[in-house]
Amino acid sequence: MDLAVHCSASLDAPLERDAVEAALPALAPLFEFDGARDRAGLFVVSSNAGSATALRFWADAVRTGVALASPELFPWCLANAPCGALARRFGMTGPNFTSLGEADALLGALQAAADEFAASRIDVAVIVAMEFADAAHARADVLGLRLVRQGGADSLRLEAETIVPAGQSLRSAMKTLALSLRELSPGPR
Amino acid sequence: MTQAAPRIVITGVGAFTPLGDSPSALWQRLIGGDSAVREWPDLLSAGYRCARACRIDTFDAEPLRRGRALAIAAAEQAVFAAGIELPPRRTGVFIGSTLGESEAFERAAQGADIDVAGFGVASFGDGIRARFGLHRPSESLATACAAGNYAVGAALAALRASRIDVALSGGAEPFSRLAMVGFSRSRAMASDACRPFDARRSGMLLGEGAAMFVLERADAALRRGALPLAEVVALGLSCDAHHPTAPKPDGSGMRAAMQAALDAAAVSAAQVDWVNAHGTGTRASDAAEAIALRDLFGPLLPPVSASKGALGHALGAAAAIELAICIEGLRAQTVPPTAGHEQPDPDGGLACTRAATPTRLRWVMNNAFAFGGLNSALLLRAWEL
Repeated sequence: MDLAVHCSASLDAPLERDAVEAALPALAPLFEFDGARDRAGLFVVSSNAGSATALRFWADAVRTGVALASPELFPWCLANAPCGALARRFGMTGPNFTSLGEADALLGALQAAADEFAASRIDVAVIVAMEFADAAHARADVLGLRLVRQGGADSLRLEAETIVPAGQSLRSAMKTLALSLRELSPGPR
Repeated sequence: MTQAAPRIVITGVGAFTPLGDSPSALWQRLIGGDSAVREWPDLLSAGYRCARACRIDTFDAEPLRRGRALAIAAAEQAVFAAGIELPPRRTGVFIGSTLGESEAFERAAQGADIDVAGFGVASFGDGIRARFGLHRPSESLATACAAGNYAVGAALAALRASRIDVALSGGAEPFSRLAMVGFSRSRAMASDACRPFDARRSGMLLGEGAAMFVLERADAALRRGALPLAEVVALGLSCDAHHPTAPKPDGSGMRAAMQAALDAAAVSAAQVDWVNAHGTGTRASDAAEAIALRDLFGPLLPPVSASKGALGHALGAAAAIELAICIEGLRAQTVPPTAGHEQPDPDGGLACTRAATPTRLRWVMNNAFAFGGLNSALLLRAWEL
């Protein structure tokens, strides 16, 4: 699989819903491709998706009483909500994955995409790593890649393993990968 | 000429559920028509509109680590049943869940000094790795109520690609007050009982539990003298891309996932002998799944059962627990009854099993769908050489 487009952004957004909304302009080029949307896989990786909203939701529920908790916030307590929101926004009806973890999870998403390509279930893979604001980080960070099937081997996967050593935090891995991708290709195209 | 993919089998199952603390105990109570639904005084006194749920009152664990403890206990059972020594560098851990340790998030939100970063879904896999001394990083599938199917599918892919030799895979979910409130406020909860595909259905009831599986290559299992319990053949996935919480009403996304599983396995719908439906008991989800099943199978619809009327909805553990039921059903050549299903919906609904139904079972489909529009269908085959 080969890299087609990549992007990254830093976002001032406290909750997952706000961060996904704020990330849409940066992520949009990843989803601008021809081909069947049910042949495109969406892979979202995060170490903390759902956490900020879960804390807010429960704090509100305790304050208002459980019978009056905000029903709008609850779906965003689930870590797969950002993936679902991106799928809806961009009409992605193919396989849809959310995995939680650090750098290993990012490598796992690249591997999952490679597996889907190898099994001929997808023609395009969009991989989005999102780290949301938390106690240690005031801003959310996002990194996105669009990969396409090519005739060759998993060149990006092999390179990613080299430049994103297992054991890093996801946020560090995203920065390392973003820098390397900019060297490979200056920006969204 | 392409080489056939290696066959992947399940050789050990572990399960802790509100209906029993082993796969066989769960199965016996399920086919006996039991239900774990009851009213819980602590929920009643806390002001929950619905205080009925399915919880495991026989499982003691440190409250902040209940999910991890359930996952480890189920994994221990599965490993013991498989009679396998796990190779530390060649065993992968794949686990699905929805909210992780909900109790930790609830306490942190109420001011407790807890760093929730250590209580997410990944903490379950980390716990299993530590318990068995495994070196590979675990994979944490946070795909809500479909997570168990996703986890087993990820294990299947890794084993087929020979990245690992053994997989510990499944799902775990501790009881979550946060989810109780969230689903209640989303108007997804029933007030009294969960009635999958029933005309009177009014929603889901919450459950908890864990189920874990040992997966390995069939040739390796046979070489070490293990008896495969079932073969995992294919996982079909799709996304509705329709609504944050509601399924696509025409069931087309659900059908696409089921069709994807059939295509990947190169079998026809007519070959499927039993569908374990997602069957949450909600109006919208059951209606969409009924349409999807009727569209896909037509007049050849095999027996359909659903287990959430007896077990509640264990969210990220549900698909794994129901996979354990599928395996027990394959072994017993029996489709279990559907607790809570008494009157099929006259408006295009499904008639589910109402009693344990002995029949020839070879191919079984385990459906699991989730908020966010996720659809999954896992296809199993009875073990045969």
